[in-house]
Amino acid sequence: MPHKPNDETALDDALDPAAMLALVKDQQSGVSRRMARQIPWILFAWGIAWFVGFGMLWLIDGARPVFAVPLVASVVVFIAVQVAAVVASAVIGTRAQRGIRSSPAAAFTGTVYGVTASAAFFSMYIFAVGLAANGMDKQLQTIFFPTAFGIVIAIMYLMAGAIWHAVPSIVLGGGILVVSLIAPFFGYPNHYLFFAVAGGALFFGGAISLALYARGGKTD
Amino acid sequence: MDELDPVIHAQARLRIVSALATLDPGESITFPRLLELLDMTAGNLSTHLRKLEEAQYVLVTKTHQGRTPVTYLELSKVGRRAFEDYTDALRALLGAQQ
Repeated sequence: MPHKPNDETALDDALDPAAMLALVKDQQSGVSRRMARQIPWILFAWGIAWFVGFGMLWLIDGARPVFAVPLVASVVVFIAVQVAAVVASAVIGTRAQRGIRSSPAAAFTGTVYGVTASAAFFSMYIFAVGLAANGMDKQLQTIFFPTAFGIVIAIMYLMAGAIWHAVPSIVLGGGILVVSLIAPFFGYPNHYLFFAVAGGALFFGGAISLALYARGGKTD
Repeated sequence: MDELDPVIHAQARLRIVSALATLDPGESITFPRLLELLDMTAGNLSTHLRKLEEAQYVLVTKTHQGRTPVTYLELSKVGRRAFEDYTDALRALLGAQQ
């Protein structure tokens, strides 16, 4: 007998064991998909941030002599799209979790994860400043910064996948790690183009995959 | 099917318990969000939640966010164990039938 969520007259009835077990699987899968429905927008926001942000950095020197964007304008746009993605992630993430109250253990895990991410980014920045103080030139810094932060982002995605048993997060983290490690071999400024295209594609691909998964369980 | 828990062995209550079991132990969900996830009417959800609460399978916590009353629902330890026993019993029945 097919499962009909709104057939309230039948809700007190029991089905045969196979149908009841299928009902459990359908319900749990449906809840997971509904919970994931907003997450593609977070990945989409980061796809834009990487594609537009790194694309603007590449345009400082990458398309010369045909076209060039002033350094200040590129950096301002890069920072603006990163900040916008952070804000979008916070707003959408909060909305996706609305109505759910964490257990003290889960809240502790989330807090430690958030603080670890901030500490890792700050540590990497201080490390870069230390290297610059010891003679790392500006051209090398343009190689170091995106890959260093890319590695931190990748590790945070991998950790998130391990903590919350999220395979898509592990796949995305692995992809970001590979992109971050390959990029330096393109050299300045084409490593920015690689970050824009390959990194952007990773996030857009993740967003589309997750959206298809979430839509698969749509019951309304 | 005498061995199947009669509290859970009804479509509506099984759907409620299955949905609550996707949350981690100790996590809870508001009544409106559960309603949205289950696609039931408020009256029906309330009726079945009451039966689950009477069996001590679901813990109901009433609190306030500012001035707004909020009801949080979570699967109790007893309820989580009953759900696991129920699904194990279903699998055992299906295994015995094959």
